[in-house]
Amino acid sequence: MVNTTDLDLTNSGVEAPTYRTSVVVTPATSGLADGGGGVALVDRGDHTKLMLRCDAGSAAAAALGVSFGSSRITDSGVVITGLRPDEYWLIGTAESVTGERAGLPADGLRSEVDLTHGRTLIEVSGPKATGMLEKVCGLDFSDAMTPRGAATSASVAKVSCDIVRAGDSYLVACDRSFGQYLMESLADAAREFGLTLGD
Amino acid sequence: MLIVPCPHCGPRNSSDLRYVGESHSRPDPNTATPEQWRDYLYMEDNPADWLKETWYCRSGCRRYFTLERHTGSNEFRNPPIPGNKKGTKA
Repeated sequence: MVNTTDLDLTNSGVEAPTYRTSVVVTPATSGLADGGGGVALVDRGDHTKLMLRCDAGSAAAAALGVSFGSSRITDSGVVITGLRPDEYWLIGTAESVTGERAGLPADGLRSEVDLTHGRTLIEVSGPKATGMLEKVCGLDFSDAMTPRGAATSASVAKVSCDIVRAGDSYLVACDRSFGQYLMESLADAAREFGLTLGD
Repeated sequence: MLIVPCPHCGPRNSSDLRYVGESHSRPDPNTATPEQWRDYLYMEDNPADWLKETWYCRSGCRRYFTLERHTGSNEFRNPPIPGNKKGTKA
């Protein structure tokens, strides 16, 4: 744990490396897409993903405004989510995440790690997204069990993933080394529902 | 399929968790004899009865916790309910 008052993500003097996705849409993957629109998959890996770990009773956690298992979307479009009892993620554009982080209280101990380059993030949306996810994950994605704003972690196609139901879509994050496999698995699972692949 | 009640995530498929082993109290390494330390590291009671076990929720909350399971029936005693955490932290 470090005191985060000494850290500045935006002015550290180190130029952030260009993000390189681990998900490459191959002819095999694109061949699964029929544009049916039941399920849409979009690689959102380039979104900034800031992990913040602090005690659930800390001032920073209170300022984030979410508890374990929930999420909210800020006015600037950042998804703030409590993925574990003492772990929170901020997901959005670099500028908006930096802005949200700047608004957090400086007191108290916490650790922050920029996971942008270490995680793949796939956005799953569409009217059949729930059914497709239930095909590859053991969780119940009905509105009663996984309402809008819910955040959870589970095995998706045998890969440990973090799942956030943000608005009308699901954000599925995994280690970047599994990104290609996860995208291909989701595309394969979505084929029967009508798959659209995004940019 | 074994459904394991995680105190944070709720009932989960056991493949989402890792079985760590029987819960034993750790002897003081400064005073424990080599025999006591070996027993702590390697020996298990393995009863056909209620047993306190440590589990790790590897795909969910990534927490270690203790549960009581009957090794004969796979029933969990006093399973913790998320938000009302009766489970004992390991």
